[in-house]
Amino acid sequence: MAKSLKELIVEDVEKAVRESQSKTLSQDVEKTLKMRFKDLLKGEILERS
Amino acid sequence: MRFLSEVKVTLTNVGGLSGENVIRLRKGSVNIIKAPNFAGKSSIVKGLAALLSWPISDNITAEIAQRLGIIDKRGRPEPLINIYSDQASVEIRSDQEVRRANITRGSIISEQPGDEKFLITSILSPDAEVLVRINEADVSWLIDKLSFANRYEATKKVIRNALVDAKLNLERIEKRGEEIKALREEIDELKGEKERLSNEIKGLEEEASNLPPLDPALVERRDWLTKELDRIREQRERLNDEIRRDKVDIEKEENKIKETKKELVDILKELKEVEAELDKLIKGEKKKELDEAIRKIDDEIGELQKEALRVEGELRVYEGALNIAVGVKEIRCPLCGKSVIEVSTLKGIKDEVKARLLRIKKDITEKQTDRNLLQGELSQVEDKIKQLGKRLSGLTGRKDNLEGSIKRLESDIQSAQSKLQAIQKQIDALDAKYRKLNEELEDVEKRIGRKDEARRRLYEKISELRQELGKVERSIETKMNELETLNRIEIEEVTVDTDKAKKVYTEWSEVLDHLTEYLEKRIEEERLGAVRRFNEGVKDLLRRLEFKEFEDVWIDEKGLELVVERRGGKRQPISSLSTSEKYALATLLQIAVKETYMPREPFFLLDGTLLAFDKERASSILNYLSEQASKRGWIVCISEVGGERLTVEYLTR
Repeated sequence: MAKSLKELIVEDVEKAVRESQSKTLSQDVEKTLKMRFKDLLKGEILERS
Repeated sequence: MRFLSEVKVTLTNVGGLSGENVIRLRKGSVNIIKAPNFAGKSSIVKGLAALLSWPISDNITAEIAQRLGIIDKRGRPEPLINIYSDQASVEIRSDQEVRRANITRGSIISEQPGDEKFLITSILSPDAEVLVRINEADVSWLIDKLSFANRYEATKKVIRNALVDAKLNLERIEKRGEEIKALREEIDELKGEKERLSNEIKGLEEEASNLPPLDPALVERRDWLTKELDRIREQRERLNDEIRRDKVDIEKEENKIKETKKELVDILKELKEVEAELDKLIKGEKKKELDEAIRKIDDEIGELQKEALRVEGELRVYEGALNIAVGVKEIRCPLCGKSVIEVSTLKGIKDEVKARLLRIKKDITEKQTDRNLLQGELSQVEDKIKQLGKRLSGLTGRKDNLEGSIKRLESDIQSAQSKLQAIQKQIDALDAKYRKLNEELEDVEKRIGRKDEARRRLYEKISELRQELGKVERSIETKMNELETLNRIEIEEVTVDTDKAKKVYTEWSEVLDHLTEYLEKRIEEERLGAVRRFNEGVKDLLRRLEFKEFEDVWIDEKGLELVVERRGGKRQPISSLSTSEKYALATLLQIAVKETYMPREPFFLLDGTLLAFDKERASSILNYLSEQASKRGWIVCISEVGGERLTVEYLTR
């Protein structure tokens, strides 16, 4: 079954917490959020329009 | 389990050590590095610490590194380099691996990154953080640094900011929704007015039709004109609706183009990076250097093997001669066969040759290890080239697809725009026709009115009402257009309607709320886990090291404070402990921290700290560390002042 956005974002954040360097952690999380938000928006525009 | 393999540490121009300095350490042992003052003991600790902890990015670890003399205030490793040199290096070479760092004034370059937590967990020196902060009962900094709690905290901060943004956007969209609602109500009111006016006109027209008959041709013309004008108005309204719908469709297509173009930009960027990386690997120096280095080592191994064969032959000659020289003191030289040589001298020569052979064989083994490392590196480069080639082909395909999609979408938009233009032309034609017919109707009605005053007034009224109706209709049209604009909202350079925007931000806020809850749970779990692991470790350690001055030491799970209990269960504030007790407590903490949080990193460095204890306690700590080194395969390094030059003594259980 496809993963929900909540599950995907938890996975992304866990990955950043475990693997990012301290200096870039916040930036990496911001990037992840931006990407997931765009996915959500894109899904809304392209699939349900 | 006992680990006694040797580890060769080479420090070149590190701190006070000038030129190449080699020390041999033993895994599974306490290695006591003895030297007089200013002979470079601390430089060894600094060099090892730098190699095992770099890169350093966290504030606390950066402070420790600064105190230890690994980096300067600007975060550069300049203090590590000997003042008479421009660069330094540290290498740890064991049977299993080689770790090496090249240090320049700007940075440390190491292929295998270290772990900056090493500076908190694995060094006990007067500058160690545990010792510096021993007066603070609060150890939350330690728990947060050694668990993932602080990283989850930093992440939570980012999520909180994103949540604030999402809620602000949601508020903005809801406000827009209220404006839309008000505008819709206005439009509904105008539509009601339009209906009222239409009905009134219809009523008056009926009234007019019931008046005594006039010129039937005029009446017929007026009725036809009225119907035609109604038809034109309806047709115009339909066309306007069509335009509005088409505009929304075009907007959707434009959004799709924007999204696709953004994706294309990313793909092109990635494509460029991959191409550059591939180009660098294929044409670059790295592969050539590796090929060249392997060729060179192969040549050297070949030479050494030839040399080994030659020396083996020589050795066989000496051994053969010695085998038959039983009971004699002198024999003929086995090489020239002429001169006479004493058997004892020949034995000496044979031993020398044998030692030379061993040295050559050792050199061959070392060269083969180096070759294997280089070959591994070369294979990695070749694998990388293959992977990049595959990625390049995938990206090119994706790029072509996206470019195709953009072309198709652009062509669709162009057709839609042509259609819009055609509709607009139809509307313009209808407007012109409407104006012309309306003028004619007014004229016909005037002509009818001239013959009958009552009829004239009626038609004047109808004409007024029609003008009013036209105004209302135009007003509806303007407000409908306003509604259309108000209903579109831009998010991330894409325009969507407010309902969708609201849905997106509502869902996004829910996701972020869920994430915040998840992170809070994880922070709590991380802290609690770290505290419990520590408390278990320190209890055992306290018993093993026989620190009789403390009955118990633990971290309070709720307040994250260090608690020291004296005999009889009496608690004592840390700040009121004596200096030697604080030292003992810090040592206890440091060993517990090492065992709990970084047991797999074999190096544990103690620089000048055992000097603070009396002989009995120092010996108990040494015994314990020696036991742990043997059990865990640690390389415990303790620096001590003594002797005339730098030496290493090994203490193994």
